This record gives sequence, C-alpha cells and structure tokens, in this order.
Amino acid sequence: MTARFWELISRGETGPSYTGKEFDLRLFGATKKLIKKYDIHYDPAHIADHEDGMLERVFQAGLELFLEIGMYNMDTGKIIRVTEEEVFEALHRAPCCVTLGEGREKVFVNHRDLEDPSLPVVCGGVGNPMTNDARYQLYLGYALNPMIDYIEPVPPYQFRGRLVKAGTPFEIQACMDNIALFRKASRDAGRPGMPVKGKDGVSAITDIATNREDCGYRKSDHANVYIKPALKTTYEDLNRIAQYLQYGINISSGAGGYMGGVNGGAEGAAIGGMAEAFAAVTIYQANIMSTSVMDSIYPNQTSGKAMWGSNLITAAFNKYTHVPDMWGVYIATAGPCTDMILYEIAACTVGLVVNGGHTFGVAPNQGVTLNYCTPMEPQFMGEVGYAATKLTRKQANDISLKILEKYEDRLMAKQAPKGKTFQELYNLETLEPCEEYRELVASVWEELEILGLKRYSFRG
Amino acid sequence: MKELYAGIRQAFWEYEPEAALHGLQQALKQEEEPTALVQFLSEQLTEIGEQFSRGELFLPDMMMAGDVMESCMGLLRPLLESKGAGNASLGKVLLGTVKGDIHDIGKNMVKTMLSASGFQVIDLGTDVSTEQFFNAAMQEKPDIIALSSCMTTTIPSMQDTLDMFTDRDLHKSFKIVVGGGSMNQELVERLGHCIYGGRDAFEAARTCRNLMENDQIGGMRQ
Repeated sequence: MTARFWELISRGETGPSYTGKEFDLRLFGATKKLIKKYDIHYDPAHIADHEDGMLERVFQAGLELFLEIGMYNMDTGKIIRVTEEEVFEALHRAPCCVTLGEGREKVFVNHRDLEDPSLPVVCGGVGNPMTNDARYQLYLGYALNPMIDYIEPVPPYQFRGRLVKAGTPFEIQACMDNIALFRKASRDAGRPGMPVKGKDGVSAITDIATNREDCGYRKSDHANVYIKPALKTTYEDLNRIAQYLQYGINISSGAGGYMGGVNGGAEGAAIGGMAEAFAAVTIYQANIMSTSVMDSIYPNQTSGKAMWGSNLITAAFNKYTHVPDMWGVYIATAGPCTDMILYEIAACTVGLVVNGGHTFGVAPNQGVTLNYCTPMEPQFMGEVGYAATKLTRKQANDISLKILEKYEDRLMAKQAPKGKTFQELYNLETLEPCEEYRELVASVWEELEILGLKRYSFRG
Repeated sequence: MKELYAGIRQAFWEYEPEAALHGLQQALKQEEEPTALVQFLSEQLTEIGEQFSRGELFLPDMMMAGDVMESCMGLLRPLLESKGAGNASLGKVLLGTVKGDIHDIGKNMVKTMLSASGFQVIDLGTDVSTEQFFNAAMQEKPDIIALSSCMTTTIPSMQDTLDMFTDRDLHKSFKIVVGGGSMNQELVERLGHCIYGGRDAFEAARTCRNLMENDQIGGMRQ
C-alpha cells in the first residue's frame, strides 16, 4: 500500500481548492446529512454494546464522508480525494498483526475481534509532562511493571535548565536524551528490547531527526501521527509519514472524532472518527489504528457520549477490517490516587477491550498537569483490560454504565479531583507505590468485582 | 415590527446573512433604533452560545452565526457611530496560536465564544511568530492579546511573545491572556505579565469579559 502514498498526496497539489472554513462547513453539512441518512443516534443506555446494524451504518457513513469530502491539505488549500477501491485496497493490504520490540520483549499487536478472548497489549502512555528530577524513576517504574508491554514516553519538558522549545536544536537534543533515558531504564529493568510508541508533541524536524537505530527510535518501535481535526493534513505531517516510510518504522494514526468541533455532536464525531480511520490507513499508511471520540469542549474521553462514540467506531472498525486497533483512556479528567481516575479508566477500558481494542493510556488531569502520572494508572488499565476479555459486550455495557454513574456528575460539573504527583505517590528509591494508592486500587477492585468484573487469573 | 423581528430571528438562526440584512433594512426604514437591533442580535448570539455550551449546537453553528452577526454589524456599526452610540463592540481581541503550534480547534472555539460575547476578534491563525503578534498589536491596538499554546514545547514561544511586549513595557498597554492545552495557573505565574484564560473556551470568554469590565488597561486603544 505504501506505493500509493506518493500518488495520493500529489492530489493535494491538484485537487479542488477551498479555504479551511469552506472545508469545515462542507464537512459539517455532509455529516449532518449522513447522521440522518444512516440513522446514527446516541443511546445513553448502550455505550459499549451497539447493535450490529449500527456498526454497519457508522462504517458506511464514515466511508461516505471520506469519499465525498476527502482530506484537506492546509498548506495548498486543496483536497486529496480517494476512491472506494483505493480505500478497500489499503484495508486489504494492511497487516493483521504488527510486531514491535526486539528479542524477549517482542510485542505482537494483533487484530482483535469483538469479544475476543485474547489478552490486549498494554501500552502505558506517560500521560503528563514530567520534570527531569524523576523522569528516569518514572520510566524505570514503567519498565519494571510486567503489566506494561511498552510505553509512550512524554515529550521532553526541560533541557539543561530551560523549557524545551519546538523546532529548535534544544528540542532535538532533548528528545535524543529522552529516548536514551528510557532505553537506559528498560535496560536497567532487564527489558532492553522493550518497544516505544512515539511521537507526539514535538516538531516534525525532531520526529525525523530522532529516528536512529543506534540511539533513537528503532524500526521496531512505532511512530504516531494524528490527523488534524477534522480530516486535515499539512506538509509537516506528510513529511513525517514520508520519512517514516523510508526509515521503515511502523506507523499508527489516530481516528479521532471531536465532539463540539466541526464534526458536531457525538454522532457526528463518530462518523468523523470513522472517516479518519479510512484516511489513516489509505493516506497516512497506518498499520496500527487508534479509534476514539473526544469531547473537545471540556477535553475528555470518559464521558458517556465520548465512550459511546469511541466504542462504536472501535467496534465497527474491528468488525469490518483486520487492522490492529489500539486505544484506551488517554484523556481522563481526574488525577492519580483518586477514586475517579480509577473509575474513568475502568469504564473506558472494559468497553474498548470488548470491542476489539488494545489498551493505551493514561493521561490524568487532561494530560496537562506537570508530574501527575504514575505507573499505577496503566497497570490498573491493563488489569481491567485483561478482566474484560471474559465479558460479552452486554456485560461490559452494564458494568461501564454502573461505573459511569460513580463519576459522571463530577465530570459534567468539571470537578474532577486533582490527585497527587508521582513524587508524592511513589518511593523514588524502591519505586513502590504508597500504601494509600495501593489501598485505593484494592478498594475500587472490590467495587468492580461486585459489579461483575472479575480479576483476570493466569491459572484460568 | 414584531413580525420583522421574527423574520430577523429566523434568518439569524438559519444562518442566512442576506435575509437578516433585508430584515434589518426593513426595520430601519420603519425607524427602529439601531441600538435596539444590536441588542436583539446580541441576544440571538448569546442564545446560540448557550446552546453551544450545552452541546446542542456546535462550532460550525457558532462560526455561521458569527458570520451573520458580522454582516449585520457591517450595516449597523456606522449608524451607531453616527448617532454617537460609541463602539458597539465589547472590545478588540488579537488572537493566535504561538510559533511552532498549529493546533486550532481550541483557538477557534475561543474565537467564536469571544465573538458571541460581543468582542471584535482579529484571528492571526496558528504558528504565529512573535513579530507577527507584535506588528498586529501595533497596528490594531487591541484591548486584549490572547495567546494559545497546546504543547509543552511551545510554551517557550509563548514566553518569546510575552518578552516582546514586556521588554518594551507594552504589557501595561494590553491585557495579555494565555491559554491552551499546555497551560495552567502555575505556568502562567512563571511566565509573568499575563493572565490565565482558563481551561476551556467558556472560561476564556468569561475571563476576557471580566477584564473589560474591570478595565485597567493603559492608553493604547484611544
């Protein structure tokens, strides 16, 4: 499918011209029509067990949106249009399993079906910026955790005493230092082949400069390129893709529908997210998909509507394609060591895993609060993800709804508790979590077991 | 007159600027006061903004309603000024995402919420250099300069932009409001000479409104 890349992006030089606003309004109008045509409607009682007819309809609606609207190149003001045949060729030629990592730490990111009993891969996203004083300990904490298959390191925050600035030599060197620090942590944990998910929050020049087999991102890692909302690209992003293809690294891309933005509400965001999944595979050459819907007004992926949308497009993508799909609870609203963050993780993860997703997260406090993330959140996400492999979609829906009841009021009131920092919650010598956090996790697990989510046991 | 207002309302809510203008012209012919018409249009925009905040309407609705409002104000603004009613705008905001950052969804939401609140917004777009902000500020003389940064790696660009103003003591002439995904109160205190807009577009608009109501700005805009 890579061979089509050059031909497809060249259409962004010759396609029809639009202003960004014209494109947005066309997309909004087309989405509204498709919501009616395909009868896509939010159902608060079914956020994780959509009926099969709905899966087919949202898949078709997303496809129709992508074929009608195309992808907008913001640098040329022109549209990249693709044909239905090209979309299905790309889906057909995409792999059903991607191997990440090296040696004993190889990770197989396979396609998972709906209600698939196979265990999901757990990618622990270090979800918040982190000061340099505890960054190594944080990475080591992740690498020492057997539940975490691989991680997404944070973008660098400081470099030799100053904040890192995008697109500068400081950023390039800080990113090289950052990945080297993670490699050291994974070696020190006895997991030198542990893969990494990159790269977000840094400029394209840095993304490209840090692809180095000897001391940067390896070919066995995977690089992420988000599609700009909605259905937009730039040459900076296409430069990334071009270099990643030439380097040979795996590419993941986000199909992200944004509620409140030009997609409209939850229904439009689901259709938009679906359309972006087709764009990701066809134009961005992604071989790992991320399917999600996010609330862009009060950023989160854990509201009832966001989970409804994420689970819907995750299920549709995994029912009708064989491409590996990975998402989780990336943008949560509460902070570490609060009941609410654990509820958000649990509600979101049971739905995504039962609908065919692997797991990726967690970004507490909307991913913007310095030092507010620990290895406990992805560990808990993994535990819930494993447990969810025993559930049907109906069971997952019932559990997810009951968990949602425990925090939805706080989320809607924008009163998520901030929690505590990594430095406050972990012993930085032993890398053990504090008693308070361990007890909180244990008590939330007791609640989850009462709701019907049984802890996974390797003994069967 | 009641029917004319109903027609203007319908045109406004269907995002039809020409029909709205036609309704306004009819109302003016019948000697309706421009201030009353502006008040009526502002109420419509506020109502649309409230529906947006409840998730019943969306960013494109706000964009289209903003376009209708702008067309209507093109007709009404000169009339207001000729009658000595002063500036119909709550204030002028210069808005943009700092150098290196091309995230625009949050910035666009802030733009629409500010417009709905009655501000005149000059949107410089994304990836805006320090010099572009500075030149635009000198030319437009806004009341507020609103800077957005969504990545931790573009916070230094925000600092560069702030430095351009503070090094010339111009932070006393403008209110500089900062926001975006990477921003929080703690960082704002470190940056200095700026005000935190808040966690979302609604908070940002509220912050700007409060700033104008408690105006302590110097003399650049006179």
